[in-house]
Amino acid sequence: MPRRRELISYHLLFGLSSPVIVYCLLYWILPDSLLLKNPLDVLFSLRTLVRGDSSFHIIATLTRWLSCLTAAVLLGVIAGTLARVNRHIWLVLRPAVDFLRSTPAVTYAAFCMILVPLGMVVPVTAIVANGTIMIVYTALALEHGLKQEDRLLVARCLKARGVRLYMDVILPGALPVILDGVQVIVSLSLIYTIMLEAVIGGSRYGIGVLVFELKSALRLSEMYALIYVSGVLGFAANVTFSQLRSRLHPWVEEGNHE
Amino acid sequence: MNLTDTVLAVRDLSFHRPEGRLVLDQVTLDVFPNSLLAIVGHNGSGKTTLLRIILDTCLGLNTLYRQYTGRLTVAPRSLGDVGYLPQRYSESLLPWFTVRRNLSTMSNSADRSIRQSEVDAVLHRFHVDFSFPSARIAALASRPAYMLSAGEKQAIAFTRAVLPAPGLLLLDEPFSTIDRTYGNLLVEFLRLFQSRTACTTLLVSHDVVEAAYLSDETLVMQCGRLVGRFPCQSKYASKAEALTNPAFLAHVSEITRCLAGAN
Repeated sequence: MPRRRELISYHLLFGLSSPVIVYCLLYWILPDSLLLKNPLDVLFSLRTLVRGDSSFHIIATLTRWLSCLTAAVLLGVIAGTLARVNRHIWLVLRPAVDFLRSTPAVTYAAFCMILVPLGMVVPVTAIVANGTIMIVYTALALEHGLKQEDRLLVARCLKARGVRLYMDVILPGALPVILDGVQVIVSLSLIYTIMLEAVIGGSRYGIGVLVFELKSALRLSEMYALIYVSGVLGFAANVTFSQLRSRLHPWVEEGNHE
Repeated sequence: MNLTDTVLAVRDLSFHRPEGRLVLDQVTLDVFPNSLLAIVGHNGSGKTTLLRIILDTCLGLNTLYRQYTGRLTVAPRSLGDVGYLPQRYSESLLPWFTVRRNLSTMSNSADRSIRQSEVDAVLHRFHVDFSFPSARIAALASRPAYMLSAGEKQAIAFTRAVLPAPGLLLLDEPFSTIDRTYGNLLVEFLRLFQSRTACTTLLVSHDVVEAAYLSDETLVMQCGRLVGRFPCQSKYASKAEALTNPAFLAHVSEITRCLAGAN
């Protein structure tokens, strides 16, 4: 049976190399296509992207993405917790939250454009879009935390009340589901950020801005390289977070008894 | 009924599951202070539900288990002063904490609270006072609870229930997965603890010998009804002595016959 570390290595290696393999195969099948550039050119473009002015675009997106992600998690966990403090409040709020998170982010970005300065539209929309997802996950997680019947009963026998009961029993029990939500929005917030950068504008820098500039200028090698870079960012974030969460709740990872 | 005499008085208690199934049917029993009452019965006979109704009443919880008919009266001194070992002991531990943290109480201001730093001392005191087999528990104290085996988890859950020395102890199959040697030590501890403290215990078990040996009275349940009551005639110095005593064996076989009849 392959060890966990070997599985991760395979996952990383195959994940990162599969788009390269597909591109090379396409180039081999259609060598005369105007749209496909020599894989070696694309490879060299990667270096340009990382070293040149383009790196500002990548850094801008990274900063925007990570700050939006952090804000959405905080907003979602706090609002989700407050909404779930009382079951009746949650029952009233839930349809509105469900509606918000089901609405495509781009459409209410237009609404945000009326309310906030143009430069803030992308982060605000990304935070709201991901934050509502986190609210739902947090509320569901707390529902899960409150269903730990035997733990809660024993905790009450051991005189746990209020904040202590919440911090020691309910929240740790809810943590795996909250982290499920974070796992979902890790990738989703990158998608939203780049998509909104491309559609809304309002900023001079960002992967979403650059990728369309490169397409318009027909700098296709760099465009392919940038698409690959954005994929690597999302993939790396996902893998890193998966690794991190197994350390955050080892009792679920180890197993078996939950 | 006189509550100065009983810790718990149950009169004609019936309970239906939300889907309509009758789980408890006209159960009547009294639990006297400092006594150990054992309940045996086949799976689905309503033992755990009865324990749960008593627990929720003692804790003042407004759950579906409170929607019974009949009367259940708990002596005021037992309200909130309960130790509980659930049947699903594994799901009652907090796997994110160490064993030591699991054994501490969750309020430092309550009566008989045990801080994390006091757990080892309390274990030692229990060892000295009641021959509690604390060495194995103490050896596990620093381990995270999720790393324990099933038997170890049950031993920890049992220890956690008894350590604050509650007035009422509700134990649901407390030794079912613990190895025989250690289980016997815990049985002897429970007997000593029971006799030396003012603790009243309700024990649900599938082990008739264990129930008969520990209890002052053994009740047999079938399909939600109490179908047999077997008061213990005499106490024995040890389980080994009890098992060689014809009177004890006759007592056990009487209970077993009743159980077989219940089947």
